[in-house]
Amino acid sequence: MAGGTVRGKKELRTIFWDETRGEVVMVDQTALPSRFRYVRYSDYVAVGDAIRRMVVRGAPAIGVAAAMGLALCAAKSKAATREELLRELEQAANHLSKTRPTAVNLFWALERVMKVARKTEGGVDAVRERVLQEAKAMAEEDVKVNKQMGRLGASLLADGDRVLTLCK
Amino acid sequence: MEEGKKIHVYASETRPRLQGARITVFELMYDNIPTTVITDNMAASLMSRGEIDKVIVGADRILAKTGHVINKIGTLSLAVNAKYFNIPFYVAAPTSTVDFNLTPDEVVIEHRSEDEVHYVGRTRITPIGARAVNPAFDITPPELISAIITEKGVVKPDELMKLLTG
Repeated sequence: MAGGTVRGKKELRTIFWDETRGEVVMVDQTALPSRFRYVRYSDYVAVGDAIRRMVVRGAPAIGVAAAMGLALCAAKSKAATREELLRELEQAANHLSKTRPTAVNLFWALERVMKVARKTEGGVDAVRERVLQEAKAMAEEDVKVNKQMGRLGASLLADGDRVLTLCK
Repeated sequence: MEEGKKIHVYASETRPRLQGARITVFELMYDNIPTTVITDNMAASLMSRGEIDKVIVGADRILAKTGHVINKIGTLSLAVNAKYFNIPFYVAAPTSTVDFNLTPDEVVIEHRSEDEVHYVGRTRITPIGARAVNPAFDITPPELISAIITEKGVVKPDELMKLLTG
């Protein structure tokens, strides 16, 4: 369902930020299970398309994807002033908010990043850096929150339980 | 599971996009959790035979005001069936999924392309010219939900607002 499954030695992340290339990387969920492949995105319009086409799915992961879309917008922006960058971010947030209407995490994530962007003092670089930080923090939180939910959920289950689930 | 309990998961395939069959099962197998796939229309039958102990689903939007849960299409059907057969029905979702503002009537349910119903992969499974509907989500009322599992605690649907706003 969400941004990552952590167990044992290997960690499976469905979405993360590639520091070296400054790109968003996602497991292409439309190709599973016949192919396990990562896809890379370097602009927010493509991220919006990925959300719409369900390359990334599951409400929390969609939220993280949207936040990283804004980080891409900021990273690639040629804005000369902070105000100009904020305008571009608003435009990107507006675009991303129209990809899928139902999962609330999408809007929650966009609003959270935009709030942080508006509050950040300093110039273009400061805002750019802060937006990226927030998007990455949200990806990390998602993994932590999943573990915590797993722990709390496990307390409801008894040994030997047969559990039915749907698209989790 | 991490606590050493052994569970067995039945994963409903989740038409039309088959995320359950394709992705949930992949993830569960990756985690070495014993898993069996069923088609979406088999759930009631398994429940009636006493083969399901609990149901756990996710959520795309939880309405704090009313306790309704909006999740992948098919959730409501599982919840109704679970209620009939007295099987606990849990929703697991992070608190970022909680909507503090809207009521069920105000929620926009995404309707996706008919083609997602007409085609499985590249194979058309309905006659050309057939019509289909494709709502991506449904709305499950609080009376069908035993508890909501969030990272901040496990609560009844009508206790969610209190949990999050103190």
